[in-house]
Amino acid sequence: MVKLIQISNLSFSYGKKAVLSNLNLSVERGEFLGIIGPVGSGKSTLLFTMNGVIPHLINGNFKGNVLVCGMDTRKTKVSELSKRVGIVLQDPNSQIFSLKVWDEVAFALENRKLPKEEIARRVAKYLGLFGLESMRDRDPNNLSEGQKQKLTLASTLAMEPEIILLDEPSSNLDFGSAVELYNMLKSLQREGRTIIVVEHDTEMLLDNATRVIVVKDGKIGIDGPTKKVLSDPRIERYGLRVPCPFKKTPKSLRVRK
Amino acid sequence: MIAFIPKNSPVHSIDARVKILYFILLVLILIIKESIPVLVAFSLMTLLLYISSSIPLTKPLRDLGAAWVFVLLPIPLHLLINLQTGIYLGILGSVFTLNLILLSLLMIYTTEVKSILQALVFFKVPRELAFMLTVSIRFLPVMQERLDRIRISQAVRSYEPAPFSIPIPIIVPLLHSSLKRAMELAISLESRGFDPENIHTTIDLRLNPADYLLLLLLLPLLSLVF
Repeated sequence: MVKLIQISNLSFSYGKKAVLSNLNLSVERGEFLGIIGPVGSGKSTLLFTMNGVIPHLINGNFKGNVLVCGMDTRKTKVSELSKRVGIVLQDPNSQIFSLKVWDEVAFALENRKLPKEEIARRVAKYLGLFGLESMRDRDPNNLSEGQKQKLTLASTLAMEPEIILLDEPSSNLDFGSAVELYNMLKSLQREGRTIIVVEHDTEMLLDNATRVIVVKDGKIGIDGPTKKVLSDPRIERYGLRVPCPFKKTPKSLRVRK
Repeated sequence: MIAFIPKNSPVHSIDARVKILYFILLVLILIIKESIPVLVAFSLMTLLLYISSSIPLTKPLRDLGAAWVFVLLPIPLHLLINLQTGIYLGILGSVFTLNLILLSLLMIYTTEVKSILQALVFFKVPRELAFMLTVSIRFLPVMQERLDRIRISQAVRSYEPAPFSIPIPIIVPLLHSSLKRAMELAISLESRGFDPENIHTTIDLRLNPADYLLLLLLLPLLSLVF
C-alpha cells in the first residue's frame, strides 16, 4: 500500500508547553483513520501538521519530519499542499466568508485558476451532493448550522483532494445529519480517498473508521483496527467514551443472581 | 446588521467603481470647501440617497451602536479647546463625521462585497489590502452578532457597564473571539489554495448608461474641488 502521510519523530510545542512529543505515524492511501483522545491531548495539533498549517500559520517549536504525498510540509506552502489535502474545521462560522453559497464553493477553485466551465461543473456537482443546489444564491449566514457544515465540506470536496482532514465534524450536527455526513465520508473512502477525522463520538468511528489512534499527552497511546482499539480497556481509563457494544455495565447496576 | 441589503433601487444599480469615485470626491469637497452651506447640502444629499435607496435612515442610526461615541467626540474636544465657539464647531464636526459614516454604511448596504473587491482591484489597490478590507466588511455582521451574545451573557451575570467606563468584560472576550476567528479564517483560506501573494480576482463589473451619465457629471463636481 502507498503511504500518503509519513510522520517521523514529530515534536511540537508552544513555548515551553509540549503538545506533541516524538510522535511517529504513517497513513496509507484509502484509510479511514479516526483520531481520538482527551481534551488538550494534541489531536487537532496533529491534524494541523498534516496540511502544513503547522509550522506555516501556527508558530511554535517544530521538530521532526512530516511528508504528505512525498512533500515535506516545512518546505511546501499551505496553498500548494491544499491541492492534495483538504481540511474542514470544527466551526463553520469562522470558515465561511462569501455572500453566496455558490461563491463559497467556487472560492477554492478560483484560487486554483480552473476554467470557468470546470468551476461551474464542480460547484453544481458538490452542491447537489449535499442537497444545497436550491440554496445556491442564498447568504450562507442564513443557513442552519448543519447546512453550514455541509457547505464547508462541499467547499473542501470541490477541490477533489486525495486526503480529507476533518476536525470534529459532527460537533455542530444533530444525530441524523452526523450519520448522513459519515455515510458520505465512507463513500468517499470507497472511491479511494483517504479520510482522517478527529472525533469525540467513538460510536461514529466504530461504524465507519478502518483504523483508530488514541492520542494521549502528545503521543500515540493505542493504534490499531477500529474494533480492537475501541474495545481496549485503556479507552475508559483515558476518560474516553466506550462505544455501546463494548460497554460493560457498572457493578452497581448489575443484576445480582 | 451592517451588511448588503438586496433591493431593486437606483442606488443599488450604480456600478461599485462609480460609487467609490463619488464617495472620494464628495469627501474631498466636504474637506476642502468647509462651510455651513456645503455641509447642509451634503446632509440633504445623504438623506436623498437614502430615500432613493429604499433603506430607512433609522437603519444606519441603529447600526451605529457604540460608534455614536465617535460621532459625538468632536463636541467635548472642541469645548476643551475653546469654551465660547466650541459647542458650535463641535456640532459641525459631529455632523461631518455622521455624514461620512452614513455614506460609508450606504456603500455597504447597497453594494455586494464582491463588487467592492473588484472595484478596489480595478483602481489598482494592492490585492492583499483590497481582500483584507472586503473580508473585514463581510465579517461586520458576524462581529455584531458576537458582540450581542457577549453583552447578553455578561448581562445575565448581573454585569452592567458603568457610564463612561471601559467595558472590559465585553471587550476582552470580543477581542479573544475575534483573534481566534481570524486565525481559523486564515487557516481555512490557505487550506483552500488562497495565496496572499497571488490573489485571483476576475472583474465582471459593467457600466450602465446611468453610470456613464454619473461619470460625466463628475467633471463639473471636480471643478468645484480644484
